[in-house]
Amino acid sequence: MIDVEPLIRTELESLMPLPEGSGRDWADVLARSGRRQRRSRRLLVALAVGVCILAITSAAIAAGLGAFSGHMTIADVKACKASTTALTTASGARVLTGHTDAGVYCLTYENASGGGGSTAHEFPTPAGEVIPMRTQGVIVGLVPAGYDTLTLGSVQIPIVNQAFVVDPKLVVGPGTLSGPAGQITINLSELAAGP
Amino acid sequence: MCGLWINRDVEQNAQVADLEALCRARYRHFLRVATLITSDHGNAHDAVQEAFAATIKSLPSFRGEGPLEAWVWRAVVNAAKKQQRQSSPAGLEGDDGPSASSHNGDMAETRLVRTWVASLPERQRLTVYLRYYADLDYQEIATALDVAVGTVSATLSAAHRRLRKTIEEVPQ
Repeated sequence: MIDVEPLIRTELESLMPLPEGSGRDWADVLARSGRRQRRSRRLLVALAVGVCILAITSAAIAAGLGAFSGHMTIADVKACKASTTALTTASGARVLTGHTDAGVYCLTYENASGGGGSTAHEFPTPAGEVIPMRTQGVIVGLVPAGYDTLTLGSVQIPIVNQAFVVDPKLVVGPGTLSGPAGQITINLSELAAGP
Repeated sequence: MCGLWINRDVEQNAQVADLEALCRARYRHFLRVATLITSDHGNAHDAVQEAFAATIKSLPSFRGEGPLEAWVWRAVVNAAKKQQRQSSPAGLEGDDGPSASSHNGDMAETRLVRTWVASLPERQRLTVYLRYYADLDYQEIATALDVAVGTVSATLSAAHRRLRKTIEEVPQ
């Protein structure tokens, strides 16, 4: 029996050699399939998702670090579990201290009529070894353990359970924290100068 | 749910990458067979590109039955046959087979094989194209033509018998 396969292979190849192709062919295929446009759409969706993730991450970081001078993020407010009453003023206002879920110090001030605010931060802040907040016309602060007095000029303000409340008008310059832990300088001037 | 969606997407992107590699490596082979079916180089380009585009669109339903290349071949053959029907309603039976470079210096064997191919019924001719021009094995041809492997074997045997008979009939 004649083996016709070699003959077929040889002759078919000479009858019809491989035609020319081009590098554009795959690009044309993609264009026909609409794949390129879908890729672009997916890229936009991925970009949008990335922006969302970035925003959420930023909010989480802000919640973790807290906001200075009483400007709280929603995450801060929700995270602040200020459960311990550090001190109560003569007017009936309370200063509560605690930690956020992230372990950041937080501070809440509530006056007798229910007004107030919260802040969350880590030590130190731009003011020094104090987490300060201006709210309801007062400056409230949380300091590290080991300090019992805040001296502003000639005025001495007691620190109770690491917290103090002070009238912004008393802040005429840097203040001093003193106690068993020693003496350190803090600066509430910027906060006091604010609205 | 999201994880499943991402996995499916990643899988499809991998398949598109496979298709791209196949297109780049074998485009000219697809084009040659499509040209033989359509008898027109432009229509053949259209057929091959439409076939790849259709394959990309239908990837979600591809479950890996048979090799991807055979799947593409099926799409190319179908697209080329469609193009051929649109341009020549008589169908493949009227195709004269490969003849692109056979006019100059025609040898006896070349003429004989060309005559043989032109005389083959459509299915036998397609099987011959896929076997010798595309270098597909029987299983791949079966997938591409949507027939049983045994049918491929029988079809090729019949085509070979016909060629042998043609050779035997040629006067020495």
